[in-house]
Amino acid sequence: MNAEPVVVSLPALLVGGLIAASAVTYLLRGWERTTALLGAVYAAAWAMWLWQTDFNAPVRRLVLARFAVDMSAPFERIGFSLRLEPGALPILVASLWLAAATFTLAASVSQGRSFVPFMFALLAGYAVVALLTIGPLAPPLITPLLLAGLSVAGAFILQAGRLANPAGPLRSFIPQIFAFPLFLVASHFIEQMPLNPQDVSPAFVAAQLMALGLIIMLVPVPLHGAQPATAQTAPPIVAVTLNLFYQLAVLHLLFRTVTTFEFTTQLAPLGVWLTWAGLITAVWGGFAAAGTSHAGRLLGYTALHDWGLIILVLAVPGTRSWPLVLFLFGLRGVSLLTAAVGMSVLEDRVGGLHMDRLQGAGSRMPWNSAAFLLGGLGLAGFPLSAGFTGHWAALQIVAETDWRPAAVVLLASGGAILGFVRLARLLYGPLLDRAMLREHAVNVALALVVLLLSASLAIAPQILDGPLSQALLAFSS
Amino acid sequence: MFDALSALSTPAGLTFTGVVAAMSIILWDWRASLAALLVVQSAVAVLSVNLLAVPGQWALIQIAVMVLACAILALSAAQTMRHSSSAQQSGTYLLRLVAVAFFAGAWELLEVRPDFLNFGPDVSSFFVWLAVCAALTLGLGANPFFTAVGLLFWFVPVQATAAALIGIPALVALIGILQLLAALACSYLMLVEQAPQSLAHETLTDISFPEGRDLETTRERVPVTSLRERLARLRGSSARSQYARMPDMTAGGAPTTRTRTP
Repeated sequence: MNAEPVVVSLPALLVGGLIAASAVTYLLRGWERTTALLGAVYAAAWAMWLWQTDFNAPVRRLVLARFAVDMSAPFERIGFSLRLEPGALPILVASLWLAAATFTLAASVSQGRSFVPFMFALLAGYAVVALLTIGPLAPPLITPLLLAGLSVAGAFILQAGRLANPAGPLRSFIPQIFAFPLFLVASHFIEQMPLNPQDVSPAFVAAQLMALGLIIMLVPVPLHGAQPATAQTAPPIVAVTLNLFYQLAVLHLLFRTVTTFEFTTQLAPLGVWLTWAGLITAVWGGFAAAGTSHAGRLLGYTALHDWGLIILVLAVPGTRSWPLVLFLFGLRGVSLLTAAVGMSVLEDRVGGLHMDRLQGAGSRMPWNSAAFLLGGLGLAGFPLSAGFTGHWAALQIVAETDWRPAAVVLLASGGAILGFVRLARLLYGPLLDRAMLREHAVNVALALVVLLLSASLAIAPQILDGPLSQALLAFSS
Repeated sequence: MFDALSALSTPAGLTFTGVVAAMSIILWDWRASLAALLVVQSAVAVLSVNLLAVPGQWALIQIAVMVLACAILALSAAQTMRHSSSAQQSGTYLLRLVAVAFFAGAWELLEVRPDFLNFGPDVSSFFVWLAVCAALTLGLGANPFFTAVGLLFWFVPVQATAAALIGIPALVALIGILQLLAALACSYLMLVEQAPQSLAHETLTDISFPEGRDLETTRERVPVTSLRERLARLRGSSARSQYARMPDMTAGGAPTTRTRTP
């Protein structure tokens, strides 16, 4: 007897599945490595399954299950409606792949026993943000509030039970809490707009508020304090992952805001603000990286420099900016993960990331030191690193409008590169602590994989063309 | 209840509440700050009901959320604030008084009279003053408790504005949840911030760690010694000292970066 399968909506299955994974992995957190590996498999399976979504045939029957999944059906609760739309698909898939990669890395170097369960819970939250189509307010106006909540929740993961200065996690949610009310007030003015279409002032005020809110949500300098501080004290892979999750969600928010409320770019000087915010961030990140004496902060400032360049590209008018932004973000992800792999092993073996302690560590951990250096240099756009092509293309586009910002950013990149050259001299210099531990074979293998990935992207960046063009298609639809 | 407290929504009442908020900065004491938060939240709830036409139940919920947030913070503050070094890095009473006086003086000299969202000049000025107090509290230190206080000062006018302007219950509930989550996170960070200090007392008795602490990670710094020396020390000390293996160390004596379940 063939019974009709029960049909569930994808958002319910995805969010419910992630929350269930969070609960199960929390119960099994004592088996840290096994949990991390199972989590990696689970996240990767979701990513692969979602990537094959065909919106023309939305109902998919699950193998070995008595139910089918309606990929396009909405899931509604308390005034919120979640639904998979083409624009959200690349965000979800990228987030799930990122989670799978970080769980794999966490299996080799401990990132805290609660990392996997908490990350699944956070992933469920980011999935809700990506899938949100209807809410009490328009999704771009309510998303900042949800992102503020996710940033606060992220503070627990960033601290990871470490008995360290909590400045990084503490600073990580302050800008978002200050920014979300701007969107709420903007919604009030947007509601006023149809009452008197001749009056531009409500649209003008709403545009200014949303533009200011977006700038704050991007967390440029001087609101950047959390990034270097968390890179200093938080477990490296955790810091990198949360950074990438948040920034991906913010880029999606920016895209949704400027496409839903087109007057934001017309009535507010968003482009000018983005240019200045990006320029200051890139310059400060580069120069601060040159002067820091902590390897974690060096990575934090270099990542800040790279993020500044992405903000600068967002300001470029026209259609070329979004493909380049996604390209830069993809390279940023690879470079950050490469650096985090090396950094986590160095931190685990040496016991800290202060420059004094790392003297000669390269002779005991050559592959992971190389991964840290290559990843960091990729963020600075050093030639023959993963980030070089992206940086070069970005600088060219920026220079087409005005060569001076491009020149200043190039100079700042030099500062970040100087910081890494200093670190390389230290790492591969004479070893002082003869008792320093060596890297394990598993760590060497992982370092080789990420080094190979970085090198491949440096030599043939067109590898990213396929995924990026699909992401771009989905974004623009 | 809100009628009985209606004096708080008069201009004199708002001025009084503004002074209470400023006093919490000057005193910089956790008990005073929590009391000030409750007074400010009560005043804003009364104001919301009497002047902004917010339903009374919503105002009561906002007060309840604030009481809960203050209770969460008080639980951690009672354990940790006495020994908190970061709470004492915000200058003297005089400095904080000067900071508040500077802003209050600038407010009067520049004749700042904001009037937005049809709230009227008194309410608008009061909300802006609360935002100034929030920024000052955040700017005067990096202590998790006072960061929470600053954020809660910010949440008070935000809750009232959202309730008055948008009037969606789900939104008010979401902001309340965020408020509690922020208090919980800061409360957790207060406890974590104190933990290295309690470990510091123990390491003074440990012969393996005579050179003090690493300021970045607040872990104990390991002196650079030969392997033979360290092994000999480990064999001798493991029998002698109950602190020979700190929770943050490996068997070899080196501090680990392994993290713990929060």
